[in-house]
Amino acid sequence: MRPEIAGKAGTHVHGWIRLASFGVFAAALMTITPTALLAQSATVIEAPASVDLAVSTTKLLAIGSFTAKATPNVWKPFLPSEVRETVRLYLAGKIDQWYVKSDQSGVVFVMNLTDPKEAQDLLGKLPMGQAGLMEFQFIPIGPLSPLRVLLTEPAK
Amino acid sequence: MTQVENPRVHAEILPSLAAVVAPTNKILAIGSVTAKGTPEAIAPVLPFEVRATVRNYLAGKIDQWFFQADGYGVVFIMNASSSAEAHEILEKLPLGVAGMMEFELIPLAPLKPLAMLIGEPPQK
Repeated sequence: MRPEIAGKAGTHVHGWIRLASFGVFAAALMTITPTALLAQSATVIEAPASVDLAVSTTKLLAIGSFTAKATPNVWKPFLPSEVRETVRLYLAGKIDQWYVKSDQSGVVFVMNLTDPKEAQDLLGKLPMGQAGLMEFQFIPIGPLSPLRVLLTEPAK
Repeated sequence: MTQVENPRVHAEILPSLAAVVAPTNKILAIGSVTAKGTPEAIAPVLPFEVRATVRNYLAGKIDQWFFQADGYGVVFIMNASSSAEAHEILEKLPLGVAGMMEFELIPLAPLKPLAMLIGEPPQK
């Protein structure tokens, strides 16, 4: 049943491939079997009979990386306009949080969007995106669903 | 240099540029299950994992937490100033100890290019 993920054992497989395979994996994990949890019913911590880990997307994590042709000499002239366009996206409510990656390989945004295509559309129109200097990968994220295991009734 | 190599780095490591360099103040941690982390293996550990995660939040170590909506994994933004510091916290989580989850760590810093906008206010 489990998808093939042996490939990531050696080197890191590209993020998209990993995410794609975990999508199938997640389906198998959505409902954890009651029998698996019964096995630990003797422990102090009791878990609910089943844990639904499904969660809807509320934000997108966007990881922007310079492309191979984006050497500092090439991208530096784009910076003033890139900054302004990024601030406009923030002011439009599209960007929730913004960071620079400390290794200078790009940026990380948390976006108030749920559709990666819409995000790609917006970020692809940034000056560096149009020039092919930066590309983004998206990870749809939502509430930390495993917190559900804490929602059992308090002990009387 | 024990820092985990970031597989998303496309360009070669660039020389430091004043325009983009700021101190690392957060670590992005993308957690994914390993081949050992089958649903059957994870289920009994999950209640412990959740509690350990909440304790890290209460201790101020985890700033934000998310679940990957398209896959089984988490995304944390951590209050740490180096990958090593974040790694030390995350490797002690039950799923990490059991080798069922591993994290990709990406050090983050303030959006330094914003500094380009804060020159002197326009003169009247």
